[in-house]
Amino acid sequence: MMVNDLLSIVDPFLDKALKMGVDEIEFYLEKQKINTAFIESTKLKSATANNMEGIGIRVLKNGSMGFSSINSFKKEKIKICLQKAMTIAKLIPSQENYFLPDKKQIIKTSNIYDENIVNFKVENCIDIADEILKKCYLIDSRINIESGIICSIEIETGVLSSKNICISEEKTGFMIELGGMAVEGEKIGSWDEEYNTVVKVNDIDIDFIVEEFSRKLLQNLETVKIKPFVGKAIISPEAMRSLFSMVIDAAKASNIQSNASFLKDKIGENIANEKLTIIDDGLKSNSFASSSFDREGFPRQKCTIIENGIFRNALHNSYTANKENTDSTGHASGDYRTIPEISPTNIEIKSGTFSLEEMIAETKAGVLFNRISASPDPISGDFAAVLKGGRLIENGEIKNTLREITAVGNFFECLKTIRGISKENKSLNYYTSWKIPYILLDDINYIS
Amino acid sequence: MKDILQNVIDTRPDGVYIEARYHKREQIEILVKQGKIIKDLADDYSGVGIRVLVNGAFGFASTNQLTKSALKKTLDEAITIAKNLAPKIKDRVEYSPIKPIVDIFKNLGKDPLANHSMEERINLALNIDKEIRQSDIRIKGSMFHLREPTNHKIIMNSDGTVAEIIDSRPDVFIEAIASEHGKIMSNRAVDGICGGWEIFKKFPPNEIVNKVVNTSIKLLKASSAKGGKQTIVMEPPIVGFICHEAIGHTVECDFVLAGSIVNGKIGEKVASELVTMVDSGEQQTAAGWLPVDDAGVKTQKTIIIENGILKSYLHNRITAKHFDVEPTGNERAYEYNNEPLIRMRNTYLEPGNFSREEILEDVEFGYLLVSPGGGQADSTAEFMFAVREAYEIKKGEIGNIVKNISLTGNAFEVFNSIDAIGKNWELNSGSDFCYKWQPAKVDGGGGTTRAIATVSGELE
Repeated sequence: MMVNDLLSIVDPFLDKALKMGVDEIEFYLEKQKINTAFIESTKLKSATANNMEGIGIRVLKNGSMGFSSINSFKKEKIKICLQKAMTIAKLIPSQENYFLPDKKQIIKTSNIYDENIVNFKVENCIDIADEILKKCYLIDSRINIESGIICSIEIETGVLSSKNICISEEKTGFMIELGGMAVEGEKIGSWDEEYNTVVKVNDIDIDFIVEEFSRKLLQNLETVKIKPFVGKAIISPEAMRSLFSMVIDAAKASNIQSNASFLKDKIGENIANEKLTIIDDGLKSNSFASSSFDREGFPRQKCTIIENGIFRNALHNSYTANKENTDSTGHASGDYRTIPEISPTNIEIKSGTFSLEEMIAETKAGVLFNRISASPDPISGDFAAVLKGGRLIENGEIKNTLREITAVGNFFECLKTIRGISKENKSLNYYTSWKIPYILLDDINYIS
Repeated sequence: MKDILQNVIDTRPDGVYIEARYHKREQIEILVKQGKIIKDLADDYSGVGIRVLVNGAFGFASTNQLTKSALKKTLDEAITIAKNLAPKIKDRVEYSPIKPIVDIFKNLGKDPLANHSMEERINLALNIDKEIRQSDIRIKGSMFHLREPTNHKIIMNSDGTVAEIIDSRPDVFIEAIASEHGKIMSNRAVDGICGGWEIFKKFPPNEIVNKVVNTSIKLLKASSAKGGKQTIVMEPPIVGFICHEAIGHTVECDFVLAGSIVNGKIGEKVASELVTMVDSGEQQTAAGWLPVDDAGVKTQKTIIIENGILKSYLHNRITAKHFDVEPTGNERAYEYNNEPLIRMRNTYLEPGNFSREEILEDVEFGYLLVSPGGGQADSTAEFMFAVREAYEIKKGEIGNIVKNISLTGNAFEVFNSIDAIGKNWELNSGSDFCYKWQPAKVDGGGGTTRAIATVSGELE
């Protein structure tokens, strides 16, 4: 096997571990450089530089598994870490399905690395933070940035295993995240946020982030209170992300296998309106959430989760896939400090044929959701969401911004009552990327 | 390690204020679901974070290399950052003075975690998980999750603070998932402390299994609550949660200066006169125990609201200087590579004079709120949080369980409506983390408390 600089750190330990009697072994390595400028109370607060590195070691022995991690590349520390993983494996009762994946052909994803970020310094983050503060002030002095981060990220990951996996990759990211509220004398608007993460620093649209952030904050300053009613809902991409996270959670094979998902035994069944199609593409070009391989060195790929309302595929890592005698979908996730779990990468909810304007026009009484504050139950799908900056729609026209109003229902049942999906969509990019349209729902219970 | 930290402090250039913080966290974690061990891990995470104040600006850098030369390089990096930041900031950062702390604080509990073997943990996890699964035919899912972080910190600064803290903060989660006729409902119980294996005395797993199993089964047939303004009786974990989530965040002084609703309201009446709300690092067994904060400031018992009057915000050394008060010791960092931020510790209501029975017997109709789910609050103190377990109260009697219940409203309006606080004081919401850029282990509680709030549910 050809090993690069990163993997050469653990390469000598692979044979040693096998000679010491482990059946299989996997090293996951991570090296990160993160520069950040912080905004607090509409002022530059501080800036930080963090260089981090670490290794997670997973060993299998007689059907048992042990895991240990250490934030060091020093040989003596790796040795201790390996011994710990082996000790745990000896103590754990043997179980079926512990499994390390075999080497598979990797398709390299494209455009996930930017040389400019590698050369980015903390002072560059400070300059951008300063620019954001000035732009916000020019738009409206009532805008208060409660907190904000401007952050450049450089990550190198690698997997070396006794199953002949020997792979590493570098990627970069640039992130802006602003949170705050508009304040005018005694009047304080509700908190809102705007963020984006890109691969290449030149792709960040500072003006768009600042304008969207300002628009949301100012819109939240003047609000009215209304009486409870039952009406339609046009759900914004931001609110959709909160609600659809429950559907993605339910599609994780780990939740299905532990009977904690409404999607259990539902592969091939209609679980939503036929307008709904959701895919996850781990190889999407030019996305910070993409990579060529997952946390276990398994190839990333495109996966259709829901197609025209039918549940097609669960998200698997190799452990859950092995339990069902199927292949992993390349969704093993997590950092070096944890045993691989399951997470989505680049979720896309397919756009529809309605325009947002048409959705509003056909709504006699309803609410255009902006952001929601909710802790929905991901197992039952029940939710009670406080709408933040929700806008009242009456007779096809947007009226006032509403003071806090609560919408109640079961989101899994709502999936079948989707009336329309918009052509327009918005990308919400963080460590997971979402591309989401607006959705029109019927008969939501609003409590003021 | 102290010598290496002292060396970097002693070799700093003139005009540089420095805080150097070593933190080693070792964590054992076991997660069992449906009889399968999903996680069995040991994590070791250590390093040094250095924050400097130069020309009125902060710079922070961290390293996992624990050598003199690596720390010197990290110090230089932090100084460069501060120097780059200084010309861009409008208001120079100034610190309020502190008395240096030189002490060692140890809190590993009555029965340290180190006394217990990995085998004991694994057997406990597998047995409890099995007990959940075998308890009832309607139980289809089970989980036992144990996390045991042990921390060793050395906090030093150029004021002369040398504080060493050694502690462990275990938490436990037990969950049952019930299913019948295609309907799925879950219930979980969680708790966390600062201490050791005695967590299982406070949180006896076998008793907890019965509770979560029965509650998840009851939830299968539960109705929704009646939406609208209702009388609520909050048990201590809910009281702690509302204190933390809905009031506590608005008084964190970084949030105050950004324009939260309490800005300029010190001395004003903000709650019922029965309310005295405190944030404190003092309680040794609570998950938010903190003898010295991560900037080297001794923590204090901070009375936020006294008899309904707003008395104090939660401060770091900068906001304390701004308001010309003493820092309250609330600046915390989760791990060595996190810069300290203003965070809460143990946040609670002081006990009242009522018995729990007296509080319940006067309720014609309302809801008893037992354990919190997740939640969020706004700068305006508008809050929303889900309640995992709640019951109807009719004519003073506890009735049926209700599902999908959330509380919303303005926290100060809810606190103004409080008309009874119980004597039955306890801190027991120490299970979860608070997230504000980085996690922090916190706790909260109080006595059973009666108030009026908006409850989500079906329209009548």
